[in-house]
Amino acid sequence: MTEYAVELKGVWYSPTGDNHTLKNIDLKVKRGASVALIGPSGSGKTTLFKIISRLLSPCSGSVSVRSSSGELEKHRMGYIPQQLGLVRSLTALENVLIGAHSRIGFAGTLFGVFPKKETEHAMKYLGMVGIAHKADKKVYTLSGGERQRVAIARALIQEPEIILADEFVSNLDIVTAREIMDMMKKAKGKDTTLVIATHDIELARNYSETTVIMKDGAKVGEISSCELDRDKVRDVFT
Amino acid sequence: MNFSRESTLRVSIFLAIIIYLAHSIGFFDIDRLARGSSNLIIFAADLFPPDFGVTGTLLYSIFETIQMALLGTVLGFTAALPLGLLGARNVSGTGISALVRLLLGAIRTIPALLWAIIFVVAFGLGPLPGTLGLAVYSIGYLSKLYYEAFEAVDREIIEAVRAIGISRLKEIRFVMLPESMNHILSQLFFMFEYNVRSSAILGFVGAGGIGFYMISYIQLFQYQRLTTAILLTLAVVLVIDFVSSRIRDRFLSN
Repeated sequence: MTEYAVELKGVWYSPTGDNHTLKNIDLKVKRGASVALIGPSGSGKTTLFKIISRLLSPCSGSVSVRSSSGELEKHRMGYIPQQLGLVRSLTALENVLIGAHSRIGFAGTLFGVFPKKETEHAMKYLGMVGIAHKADKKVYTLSGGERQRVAIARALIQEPEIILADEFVSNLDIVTAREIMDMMKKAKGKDTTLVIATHDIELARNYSETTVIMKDGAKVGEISSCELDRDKVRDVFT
Repeated sequence: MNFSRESTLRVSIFLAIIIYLAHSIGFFDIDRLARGSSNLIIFAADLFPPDFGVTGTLLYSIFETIQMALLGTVLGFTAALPLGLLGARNVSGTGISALVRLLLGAIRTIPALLWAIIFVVAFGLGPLPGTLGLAVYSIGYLSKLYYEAFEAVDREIIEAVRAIGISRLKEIRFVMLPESMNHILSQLFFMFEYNVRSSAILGFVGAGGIGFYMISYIQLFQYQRLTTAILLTLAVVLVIDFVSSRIRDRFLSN
């Protein structure tokens, strides 16, 4: 069993071949750890998430995303992008069931008929994040906080070994953002690795053990989150 | 408002071109325009009063027109949806989408009327070639609107499901189709309305429907019967516009 869930060595990425948006990134995330990526907009956090989730391939360097028994299958990685990536015209329940896609057969896919067991499973997770009563509501009718909960439930039904959450509470007021993060921390299993991207220092300090500091596509520091304060990241945000 | 010398010059050149084009077509031939206007007044007078004695015959042919439009739209839609998916770069990739777009572009180059003539030559007179003409035209038109709708689906939603390893078939079923459904239905109803109008004209080339009677009345100078055919077509088009816009609003509000 490998100690690290995510291991990046010398990763460079550029969408065009020049102007690298990631520069020589080395990153190790231990299994079950909570890590925050902090940095201003354009510092490369989202690109790094896309590399880890294998949506993008690095120009050079190596990426290893591993489960306890080998390479992590994609359906065991929960990914919550900044705008949540929910299908607005589907209900909350249907969106959560997308997370269980690997267990839904061809007929279910074609006709939208989901196995009863998976529907119950999805309802359980919607209940866990306190939104089971809105399961049959279309996502576009839900508030920002409610959508966040649906996105968490969709990640949780995957029974993920890793959750990548990309600034997904940045559009919420501070009280709701904390409530959502508390829920996420509580709901994730103890062996689940959580990587969050944020530009909120308080959020990084309260919800992660380690903070990776990024600027202009490069990793400029890695510290224990309890040591994180404004002075340490002032240069990064100016 | 201040106009620079350069913009005044540009507008003047543009106007000069428009005036030249109008002149070359005959818009400044006063004698001809006067003659034409007086002919139009005589023709308009000949249209009235409508001859409602042909209503029974025309009702059957207008039913045929609606039948052609409905069937042509359904057939066109059935092919347009998969072709739209194949034409969308974010679904099928650049290579396949380029080939499909080339094919659809070629289909769209030929108007519905010409398609109907081609099918009349192949299958003979009647509603069958008209329906096929409408179906092929609908394929070219709807597919283009559909691949544009699929390409407009929020990239982040697609990435969110691809990151968790969803298959392309499931991506289409759970993301592309639901996210584009309003566009798909809206364009489908619009196509049906368009095809009802088009199918009235297709009869001019022997492809069935009320247009066949319209061209016959024109050729036989039976203008009062023509008025009845036009009024009936107008009534049907208005009813279909109303019904389809109600259905469309219902879908869109959901």
